[in-house]
Amino acid sequence: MSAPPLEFHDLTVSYNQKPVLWNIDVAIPEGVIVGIIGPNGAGKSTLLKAAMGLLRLSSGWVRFWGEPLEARRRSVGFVPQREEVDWDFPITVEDLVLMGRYGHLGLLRRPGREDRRIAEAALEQVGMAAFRKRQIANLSGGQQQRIFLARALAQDSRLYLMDEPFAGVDATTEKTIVAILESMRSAGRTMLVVHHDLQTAREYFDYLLLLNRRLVAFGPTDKVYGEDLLGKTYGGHLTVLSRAAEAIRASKTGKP
Amino acid sequence: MSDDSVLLGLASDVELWFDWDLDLWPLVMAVLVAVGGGLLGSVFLVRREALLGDSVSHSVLPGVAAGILFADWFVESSETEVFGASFSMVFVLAGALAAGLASTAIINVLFRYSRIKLDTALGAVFPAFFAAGMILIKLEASGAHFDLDCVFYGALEKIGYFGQVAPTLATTVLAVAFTTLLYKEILVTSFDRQLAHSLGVRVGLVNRLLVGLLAMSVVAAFQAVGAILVIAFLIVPPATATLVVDRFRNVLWLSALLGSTAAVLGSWLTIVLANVGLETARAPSIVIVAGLQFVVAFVVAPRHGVVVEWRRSRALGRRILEENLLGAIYRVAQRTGRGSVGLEEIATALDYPCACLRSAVIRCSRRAEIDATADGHVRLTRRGVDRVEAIIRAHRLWEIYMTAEMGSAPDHVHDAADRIEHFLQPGLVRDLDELLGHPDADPHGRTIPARE
Amino acid sequence: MSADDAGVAILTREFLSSLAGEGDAAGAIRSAVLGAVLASLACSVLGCFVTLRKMALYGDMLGHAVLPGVAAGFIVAGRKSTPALLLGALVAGLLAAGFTRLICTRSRIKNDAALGITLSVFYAIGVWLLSYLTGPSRPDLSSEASGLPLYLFGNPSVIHDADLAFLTTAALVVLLVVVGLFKEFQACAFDPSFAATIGIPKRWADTTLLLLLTFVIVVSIKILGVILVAALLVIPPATAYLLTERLRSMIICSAVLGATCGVLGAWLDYVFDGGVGPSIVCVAFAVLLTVFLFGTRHGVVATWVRHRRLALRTVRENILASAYRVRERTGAAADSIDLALLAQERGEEVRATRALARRLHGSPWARVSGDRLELTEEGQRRGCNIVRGHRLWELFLQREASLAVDHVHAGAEEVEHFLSDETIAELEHLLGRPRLDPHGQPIPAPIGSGDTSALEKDATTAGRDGERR
Repeated sequence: MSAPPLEFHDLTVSYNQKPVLWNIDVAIPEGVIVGIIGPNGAGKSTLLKAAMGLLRLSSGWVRFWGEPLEARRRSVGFVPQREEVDWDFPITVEDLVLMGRYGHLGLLRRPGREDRRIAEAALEQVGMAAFRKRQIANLSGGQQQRIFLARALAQDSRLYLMDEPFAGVDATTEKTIVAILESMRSAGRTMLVVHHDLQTAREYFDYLLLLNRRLVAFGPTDKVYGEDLLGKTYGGHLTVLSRAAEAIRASKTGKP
Repeated sequence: MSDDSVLLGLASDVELWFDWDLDLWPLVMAVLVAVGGGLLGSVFLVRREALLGDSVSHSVLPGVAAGILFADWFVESSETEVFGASFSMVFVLAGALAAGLASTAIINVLFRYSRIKLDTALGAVFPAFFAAGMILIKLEASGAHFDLDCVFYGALEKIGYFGQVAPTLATTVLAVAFTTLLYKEILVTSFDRQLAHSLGVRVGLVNRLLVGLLAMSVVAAFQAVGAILVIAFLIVPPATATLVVDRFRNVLWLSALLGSTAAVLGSWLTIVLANVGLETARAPSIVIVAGLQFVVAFVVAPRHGVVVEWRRSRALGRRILEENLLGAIYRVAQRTGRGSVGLEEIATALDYPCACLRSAVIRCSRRAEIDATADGHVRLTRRGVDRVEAIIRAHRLWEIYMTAEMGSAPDHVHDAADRIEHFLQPGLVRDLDELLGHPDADPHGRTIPARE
Repeated sequence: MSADDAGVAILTREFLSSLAGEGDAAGAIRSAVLGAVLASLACSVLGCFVTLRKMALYGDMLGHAVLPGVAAGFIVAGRKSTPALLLGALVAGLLAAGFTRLICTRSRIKNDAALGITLSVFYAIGVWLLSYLTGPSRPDLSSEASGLPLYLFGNPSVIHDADLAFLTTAALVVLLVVVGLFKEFQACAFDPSFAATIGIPKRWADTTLLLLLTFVIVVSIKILGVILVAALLVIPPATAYLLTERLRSMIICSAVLGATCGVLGAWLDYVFDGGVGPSIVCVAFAVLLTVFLFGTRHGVVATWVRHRRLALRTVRENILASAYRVRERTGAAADSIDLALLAQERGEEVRATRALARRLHGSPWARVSGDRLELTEEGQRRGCNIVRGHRLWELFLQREASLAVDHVHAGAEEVEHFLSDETIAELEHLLGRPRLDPHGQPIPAPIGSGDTSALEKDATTAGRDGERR
């Protein structure tokens, strides 16, 4: 049995010495689309960022096909949230998508014809080829999300971590993204997607990861999507965790 | 005089340290600048606009130059020193005010009506104004008696009479009045601009008053400390104050106090050094003293200082070690059935070097949690047992919590509980117990020690 | 030396001729100009990354903080040897950067304040050292040290070949690094977390940028002076930012601007003797303001003109829409509407309506003729479309946004001018080809479709709540 594309073990992440994700233990199977569901502040984005090495772990580890991230970077793609980018940056659509190829090039190497072809194909796939020369500020939310997705496609990875790709996009874009995700799945890729909408979660994802600072449940959508588990995710009172987190923070920083 | 003899001189001749003739006016000037700067600087610091002071102090230069030229032209007095007679000072202050407000207006316009970011706008406008000022000064150097050095070094030593101090006195008094009378408005506009708007506070007016006052204070301070060093008075004492106290009101008066202290100490130091032949300028000495104040606070401040942080983490590490030690003694004693346990066994159980445990043993025995017998064995006292059982209780309850509420597998919970058991306070443990329904055994089947 | 017009021309000619001329004086001028250009070039190129990464104030801090290094280098070397001074400045710059970072990470002091602290304290140490070196206690140094304060302002008149060599090296290194590491710098500047995830060593790129920055600042201070070197890191890149859409173009544009300002600044200094550094900065800033105001894409003037055009179009369309409503209400002829009726419809004085209607002059839609408004076919169509869009939008708001009937009008008033034909068609499709709007008024078919049923309704069905739009 080969190692799963992504596995978390006892993952705890803290912010300002205060744990915000507690002891996450989960293995993601290959070739599926997984939705991460939970209320605001549940730590969904934190989980992705911790996996990508953007945040420090207080405990535990993350493995990609049994190995640490550095060994498998080429196979992992990350699509961050749109808001975190400076949209006034002087960069055109095609430049941005081409950035997805940088991971494949070493230092001092420039993108070649093959890289440009891949980028072009990615743009076609998301339906943004006509906008290739446009500066990114002059795009709608849905268009911006699409080019981010195109960048991820250009990376040609096997596993994708996506942070709220459906946030603030129009209906057409949403359908396009879903279609692309499904075609990626058919190609054998695995996707872990942070999502905010419960209703669509049921249609879009094969597996659901219910998260609210700790793992509530993980499994096939039809098994997990139920009133009790969802209630636990969204409504569960977490005073114990909050208080424990506070206690840890107070001890470590001395601020009462 | 070589450096050796300077040091020798300082060391041997103790009198030199105390033989100082501290002229009144430079000292008064320095203190006034420090107080005004400290107050205004604190406001800008908490608004995260610390570098606005930097910006304004550079931008006022063309206004100053224009003011002097104007005054020259108007007053026609040939003894117009740099910022000399108070009449021309009015022109200078007016010019500075205009330049200061103009530069902030241009920065805002650039920022608001184009995609240029705020720090870029700042970084573009104030050097440009400064450059314009430098050109003006250079072009008219023959006209008025400009002392370019003065602009950069300041000439604190040359302050000799009240007329020169008067403008700074005025701006400092204004600063004190402003921060006292409009304290509430300043506080709310600094903390939450939108809230201030909704409360009906005239945010724009307060901001413009602040900038205007800043421009004038900066200019009034020029002759004392020079154009660039004035920034130090606006930033360093307030920053030091924020490391030490928490409330805005306290930051205000502490900055003024720190600044004044630096002024006095710096002046004194300059004189002492001069007595042994090391002539330096007073203004930078004062700033260096302020810098030292900052470093000291950074390192030793209660609550936020580096030393304190280090001690705290060391104390935490020690506590965890002690608790682990007690726990190990308990478990080994239970397993072997003996009352007292050898230190080597503990060290093996904890996988920790024996030597490091000794100091922990001493600390625990001082607290009457351990009895150390003569042959190097240790035994838990009643008190020690209580402490251990409390921790074990916390540990096992947490394990149950993890399996019940967090969906963790039973074989994954031990390490996490091991880490957190040291942080769970009694109240929280009680509530955990209640939440979980007063369980008797943990996921591994071991009993949970009863509550007291 | 002040100059009048004739003097300017003469001096300029002198300046230009000495660029090509022989002799020491010409050589000195050439060196000064070359130094100015190289310094500006290096700063402008590197400055692109500095501004995009929002490190503009960092450059300012470094510019001030290297001063004690200059003084220390002088003390160690005993004289004004360029390598010693530059090395001292470099060390001071790196120490300052480290100090700032230390403050930020280990205390609650924020970045801007940390920069300010480092800037002023280091600068004070530098000034303190300078005051000692140029002061009465070291008469032996006074002649040597007297040139040091000029490091504050920049003094191109003492540019030696050694300085030019350093400047050329700096410019070349900057260009090479920027070209070679372009994609790394670009990725780190634009999207640092993405860069981290694809394995670009962000820390490493940051350190390189910082080292380069310190190096460039250090070699440029002799020309530009400590305070103004930061300006060249910000102003030409900011100008280029307003003019370009791609990073590559921004860098090239910034380089060209920087070099040009360098030459112009040197020239201005020659003619007016205001100082090279300040002259370059003032020229650069003037260019920035010009582009800001008059740039075709983002310039303030262009934006203002666009707004005015939009406002005019809105006024005109409102008149046309009102004309359609008059026709609808009174059954008047489509191509000629009485201004009085129009005024009544709009609830205005006739005079006001006439003034607004006059603004249709010059448009292909209508014009005022006597007491009537004469509409072309195009104008009628447009008016009808506006009303159509308005009413569809009201219906949309009512149905899809659950807005109360008396709330939908205001929203529709604004949006009606921006609904394209496709959007209107889509709305119609979405709403299922409705006939009436929330107020019970008919939704007109587009003129030319042959459907005039909307116009033949009973006038009494006008708005149950009296609201008719």
